[in-house]
Amino acid sequence: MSRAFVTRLGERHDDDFFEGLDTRVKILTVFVVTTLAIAGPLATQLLLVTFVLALALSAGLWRWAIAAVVFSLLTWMVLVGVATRLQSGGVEDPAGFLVGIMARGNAIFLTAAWLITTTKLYDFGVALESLRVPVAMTLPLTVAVRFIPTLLDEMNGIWDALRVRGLVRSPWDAARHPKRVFDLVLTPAVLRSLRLADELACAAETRGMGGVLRRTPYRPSRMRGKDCVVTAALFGATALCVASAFVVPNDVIAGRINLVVG
Amino acid sequence: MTTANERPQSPQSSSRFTVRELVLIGVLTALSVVLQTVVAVGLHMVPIAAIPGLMHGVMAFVSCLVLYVMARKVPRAGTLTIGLTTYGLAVLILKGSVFHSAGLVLGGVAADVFAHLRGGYQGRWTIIAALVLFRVIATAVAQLDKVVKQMTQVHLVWYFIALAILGAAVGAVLGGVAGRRFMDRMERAGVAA
Amino acid sequence: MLSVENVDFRYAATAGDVLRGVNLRVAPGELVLLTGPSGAGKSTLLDCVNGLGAAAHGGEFRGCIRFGEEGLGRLAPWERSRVVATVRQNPATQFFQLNVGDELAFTLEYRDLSVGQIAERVASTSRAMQIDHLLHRDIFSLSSGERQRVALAAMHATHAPLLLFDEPTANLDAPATDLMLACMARFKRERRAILVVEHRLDAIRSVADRLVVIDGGRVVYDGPLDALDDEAFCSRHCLRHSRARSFIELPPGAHHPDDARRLSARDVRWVSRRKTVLDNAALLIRGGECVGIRGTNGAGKTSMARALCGLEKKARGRIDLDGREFSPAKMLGRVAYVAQQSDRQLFTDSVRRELSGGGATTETVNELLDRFHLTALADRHPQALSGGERQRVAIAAAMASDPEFLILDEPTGGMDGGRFAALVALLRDLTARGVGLLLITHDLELLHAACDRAVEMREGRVVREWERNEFELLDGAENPPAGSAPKGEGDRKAALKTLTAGFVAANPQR
Repeated sequence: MSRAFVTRLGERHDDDFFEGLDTRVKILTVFVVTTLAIAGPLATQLLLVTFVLALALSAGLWRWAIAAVVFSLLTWMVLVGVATRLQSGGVEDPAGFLVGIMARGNAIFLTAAWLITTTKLYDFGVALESLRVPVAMTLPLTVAVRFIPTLLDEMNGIWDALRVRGLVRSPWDAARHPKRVFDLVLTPAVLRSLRLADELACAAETRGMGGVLRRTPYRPSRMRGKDCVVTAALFGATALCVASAFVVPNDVIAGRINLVVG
Repeated sequence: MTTANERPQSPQSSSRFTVRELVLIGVLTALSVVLQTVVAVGLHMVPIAAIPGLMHGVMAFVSCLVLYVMARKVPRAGTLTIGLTTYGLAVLILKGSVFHSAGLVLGGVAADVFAHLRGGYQGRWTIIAALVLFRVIATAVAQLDKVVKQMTQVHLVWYFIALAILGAAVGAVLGGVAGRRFMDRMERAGVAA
Repeated sequence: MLSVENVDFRYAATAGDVLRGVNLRVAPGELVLLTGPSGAGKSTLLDCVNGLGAAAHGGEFRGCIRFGEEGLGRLAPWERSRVVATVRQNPATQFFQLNVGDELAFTLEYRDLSVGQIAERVASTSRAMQIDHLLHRDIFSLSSGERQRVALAAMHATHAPLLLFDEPTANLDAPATDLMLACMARFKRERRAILVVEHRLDAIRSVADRLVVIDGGRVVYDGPLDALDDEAFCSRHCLRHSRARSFIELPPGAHHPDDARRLSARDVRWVSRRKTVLDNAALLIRGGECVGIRGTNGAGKTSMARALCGLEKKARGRIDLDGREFSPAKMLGRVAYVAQQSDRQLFTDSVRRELSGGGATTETVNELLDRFHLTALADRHPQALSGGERQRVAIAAAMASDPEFLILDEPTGGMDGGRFAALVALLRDLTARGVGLLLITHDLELLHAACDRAVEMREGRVVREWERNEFELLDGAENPPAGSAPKGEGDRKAALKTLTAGFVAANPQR
């Protein structure tokens, strides 16, 4: 998780189609994809990963998609190779394993990537609140993510102070003496965090937070025309994925894949 | 300058957590995320990180140390649920890991229920036991991610999962004890009171 | 009008009253400058007005605080927020959102306003504060000047008639300070009552209407600003100086630069993320000499210091230390460095261990404890000390390895006159012992009081240099000429002009 990633959670682009989509629709999409990926039969999963790849590419996530496919292929090759060496029979069902790692893993990963790259932190909080998640849950989330860049700066400052004082010379020192370095870092890191939390809490109270933690969001969650279209498309795709399992049974797909892989 | 209807909302007793406590939970959650990231990056530089279960143990140590501070600073039923749900949502947003997030939330709820049954977060060993329970559940649920992603018939993976859970439990005990020592030291010095 | 009447305040954790019978009035359109020594009760008084005193710190409040006809004393901080808005020293710890537009709406969302009203308020505020172009940006990618402007805009959006500022200029460079003063002047014209707590008095004096001095929890002066010209008065109440002509002068012959020991940098260049941070910068510091670096934020001051002490591995160039040549990456551990936040430079659980951490002998540690007046604090936890004491420990710890050169980054932020004088005495003692000092500071008084030479950095280069006898030319030199301001900041004067015009356009009723 880099600073650039946190910046992505804050910077807005009003002309982006997926960014303008209601966050609840995106959360629903992740939920549906995860459920189908875990519980669905082979045909469903293959269709599912096709849909998810199309979604990721249309959102401009082609780098994520390529990385995910390459990584899962490499993982499959390495694990099958290791299994063949360790066990006389190797992997019992390499085709099923390939589908599992390619379809299930990538479908879940790419949908989650689509959610996090097209959703602003604020919109995520508002969507959760509109789903009846109390502000008592969303406020710490906002604070936590918003505080990560600040804490990274703090950690850099602490690390620099350790280096310039000669208490740590290089990252290798931390690897050689992890307990000593961790002890040195811990005190200023925790105490700075407590002080900064106090300052932030003071700012919250003087800026009107307190009593009933209820707000009128400046950018409320709203189902607009395009949200309805996307939701309808999602249900359509889900129905298609589920129906495909009745048309093409598992063993037919497994046989075809084993033919190709084998 | 101010319109008549522009009144801040009135306080209500049902809101058990104050803004101050919620902000503190948020900041300590961020600290936990950052410390774990820094330690993980450092640990990956040395080959011992490949020892099964070690990484989970170290991560459990770091997170439980910070969570101990959280439970001592906000000793209310629900603190770990809020903190770990926040953590889970942050993990979901930052890493997109569904099972990791679910494990954190379930672990947090279990820890709070346990602490509630034991009379709250007043006892130091109660906090440590709650942290161990949290970490074991969180690690176990997070392993489902691997099961789903790999769907592998490589039998060795089950040893890895067992070692991960064991490592997490040991790390949680050590982290809780370290957190306890840290807070005692800070309170004696009058720093973190 | 804000009326503070017979206010006493006592913290739960301390024995005595911090405020004793304080009376104060601030009229609409008036800016009252509140100052006094550290620990005198200034920030506590602000916290009593905005409600944090009792709510956050568990204190006991007695007396009466009213704004107009409304009593504030019994209201919680969030209930007072429609009347009182507070801006603290560090804007980064006041932001709750990642996005500028969302941040402007933050306070308004917790009032009973409609979405349309909030959107209208955000739009009018962004026009007034000239931050339309920032509305979609991530807050943490903004420059420090832009962040300050967003913090002021968030304050503006509340439409609160009473504004409190807690050390608003402590860490600001000249353009950001000017922006702050322009906003304060505008808020005054909008008939808002303004109370400013500040130690650095040189800038704020130009917009203040009245001076209130608190010492020992009591108001000891309430009247015109002329009292700041009285040396005896300022010394008595540990006040900083407010005019260049009265700055502490370095005694003639106080420093004896040693030409044999030199730290010099040549052609230091550092490009970070395609941005040139240091552009063939050059600098010389001699043993026993104190050099000050000034310049706007982002001019490369801290980067230069970090390159000199080896913290910027990717910096290129040549650094000579006592005749030996090093690359910046090889300088680590050869030059001591004390950054601005002393509490993140203290790692152990006692002052004595802090000084011995780098391997210093017991004799050296005892000598340092004695020299830095820390003997009585030797067994205390460094993080439990006051801000001034923590800074002394950080400097002493930096000196434990007996370095020939020491760099201090903004050492006077939030200091009162007493602590300032103590720091200057400490710096003079170090130079008298032959240590070469480099001070990064926006504080003109510190340059006058401690430095033999001053240099100015702009856009990664050292562009000007003043010898001690030219220091009267330092006033205003930090302001970049038109057209040369760093990208994103814009020309300061043009920005102020448009800001003023923007206020008028967005607030025609005022």
